[in-house]
Amino acid sequence: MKKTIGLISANYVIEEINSNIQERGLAALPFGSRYRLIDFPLSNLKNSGVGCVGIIMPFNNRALIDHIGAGKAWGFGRKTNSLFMLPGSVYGRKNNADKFLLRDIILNFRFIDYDNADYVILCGVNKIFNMNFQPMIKQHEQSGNDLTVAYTVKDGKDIPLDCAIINQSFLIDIASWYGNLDFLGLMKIIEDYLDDADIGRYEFDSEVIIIENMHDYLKGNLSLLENDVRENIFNPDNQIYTNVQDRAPTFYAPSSKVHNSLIAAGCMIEGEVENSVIFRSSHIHKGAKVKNSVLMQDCNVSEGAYLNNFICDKRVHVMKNVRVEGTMETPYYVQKGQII
Amino acid sequence: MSGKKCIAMLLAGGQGSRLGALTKNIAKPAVSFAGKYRIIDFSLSNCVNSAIDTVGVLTQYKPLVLNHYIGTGEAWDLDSAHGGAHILPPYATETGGSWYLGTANAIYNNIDFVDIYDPEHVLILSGDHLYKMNYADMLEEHIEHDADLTISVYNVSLKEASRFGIMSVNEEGRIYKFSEKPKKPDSTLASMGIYIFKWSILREALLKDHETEGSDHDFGKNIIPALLKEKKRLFPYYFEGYWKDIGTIESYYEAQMEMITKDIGRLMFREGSQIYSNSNLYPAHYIGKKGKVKTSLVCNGCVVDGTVTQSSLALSVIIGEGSVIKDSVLLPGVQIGKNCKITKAIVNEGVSVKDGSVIKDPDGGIVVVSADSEWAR
Repeated sequence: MKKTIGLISANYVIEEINSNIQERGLAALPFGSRYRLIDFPLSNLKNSGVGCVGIIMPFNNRALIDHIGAGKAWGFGRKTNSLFMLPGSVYGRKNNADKFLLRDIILNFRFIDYDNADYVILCGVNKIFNMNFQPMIKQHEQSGNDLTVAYTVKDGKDIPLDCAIINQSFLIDIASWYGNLDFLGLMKIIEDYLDDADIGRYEFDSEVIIIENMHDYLKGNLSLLENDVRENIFNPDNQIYTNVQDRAPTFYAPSSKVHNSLIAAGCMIEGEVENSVIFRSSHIHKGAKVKNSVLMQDCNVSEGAYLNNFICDKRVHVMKNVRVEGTMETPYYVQKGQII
Repeated sequence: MSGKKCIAMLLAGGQGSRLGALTKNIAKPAVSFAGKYRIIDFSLSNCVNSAIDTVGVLTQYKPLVLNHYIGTGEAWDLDSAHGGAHILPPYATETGGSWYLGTANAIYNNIDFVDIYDPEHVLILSGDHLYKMNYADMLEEHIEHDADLTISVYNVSLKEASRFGIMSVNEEGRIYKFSEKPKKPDSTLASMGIYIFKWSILREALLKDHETEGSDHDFGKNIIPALLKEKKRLFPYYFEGYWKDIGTIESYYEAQMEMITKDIGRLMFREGSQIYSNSNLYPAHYIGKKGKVKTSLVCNGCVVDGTVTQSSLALSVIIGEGSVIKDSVLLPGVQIGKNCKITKAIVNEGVSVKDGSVIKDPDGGIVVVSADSEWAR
């Protein structure tokens, strides 16, 4: 069997989101009640039997390192399966054109070269899907191509998944030939300079949630309330793993009223929740109402508060009788730890 | 390697036959509780929260689920290099081998295990009690008293006292009398079955007890009375707080319901030290468009499209549309079909209930639904 390693790039920014979430970095953005964006590519790689994965780290990497640890939750950090946190270049702080900067690849040449792999699977972090890579690896192997790029088709248009499989030798060649163009992205170089490269296409026809701004973020979270989306993204045959915190079950008080919502463990629900995604250990007090919103971990919504189209970062305290309303297009966002 | 200060030996071999269908396939300590937990989580978590990093788990009755659940002990941080969680089943020797004949006999058979760690003190625990206790405080008192044995005690009502091992304490604070399940109790200080022994004293007592003919090889019946007779230093450790010994279906159901009440739920799960568990990873639970949940506990992986009141939903429980669940306990992996009406029932792990089932005891008792029940699919 051919050997495949994984390379996840977390070293890029999407200005509309990063300006909001600041020091956390995109890859560590919480999603779907108990996950972070990085969980999806990491779990996809684990579920596809890829035993060696490197993550090109963003400049702001504290939250990401804290979340991943040694990678035990995804089956890494063992004698046979290892996870590498790779340095990213500082250009990642501004880069939004290409997910894979050539200089990040050159900087981590040793990782790519290290394991005598045949193929490298490349993944970004802001497109969420549950994919087993084995069929793509197989297609790539049979085609004899240099590179196979994954797409999904929406409304008749090709949408790239920032996900590809590339021959290791081809990747190493590009890194050594185009060192003087290292400010460019890998895909840009292949497109502009390597006309004769054999490039294949892999079509993925399952659920994809793309997050490129705060509207996408709210919409993407709320799309998990649809049974088929949720069952697809959290397909138990291809489980999405995350850092386990072992919180107590969620408690519903006699006064609780909950409809169409995804709610994590450790919460205390005394008020009303509708069409919302609630992360761990949040407390919705009696008489409070949360609608069409995302509340991240440890939020506290006091009596009589009313939130609609609202994105609440971690540990936000909403005072009594506060009314805040955004719109689906421009949700109201409150930063971590604020009191409103 | 130098000896440890204290290690724990956790008795988890009991069948718990009074729990009926719940323990048909698994040992009592492995029975699901409060949604995502199993009963043994409480003792194991107490150990870790009390800085005890070595726990021998003595298993005998249907131990497979329990073994699988404990694994390396990692979920409780009990996977340390010198120490950790160890499953200790009965074993064969050159002269044959036998089952564990009683609580004391189980420890007797593992004297060699304890000797590996050469501890000063040994903490003996039951794997089927629900409580949060810091054993480090108990150990500190035990050492302060220079006690040979410290027994954790709980004040029970005089009516209940005849179900427990009852102690009498003199002015000095020492235990001078211990009677196992007395008909006429003269005190209400009940033993919780939690003991800290000096290992040298316990070791000697176990060897003597093994040679004693007619002994039941039981801590309450044999070891403690023998130590009292020898005028050893026995002290009580007073425990206040929530403590429950789950013996019957009724007490199990009652304890499950207590976890739903705000105060006890908070005490056990939202305050103080954390209870750890080794549960599978599931997505957050989903309350559907027609779902309704009030006064209940709900765990990850659940999907609720029906109405749930005064109930406990463990991991990955599915409630179909139009079903009404009241005063019930649904254990992990239970699937309730559509338009069911379930009142005051315990539905055992993994059971699927047919569409339209109506489950209720006409006399108001508790119904236990298992895989061979008429409602199961």
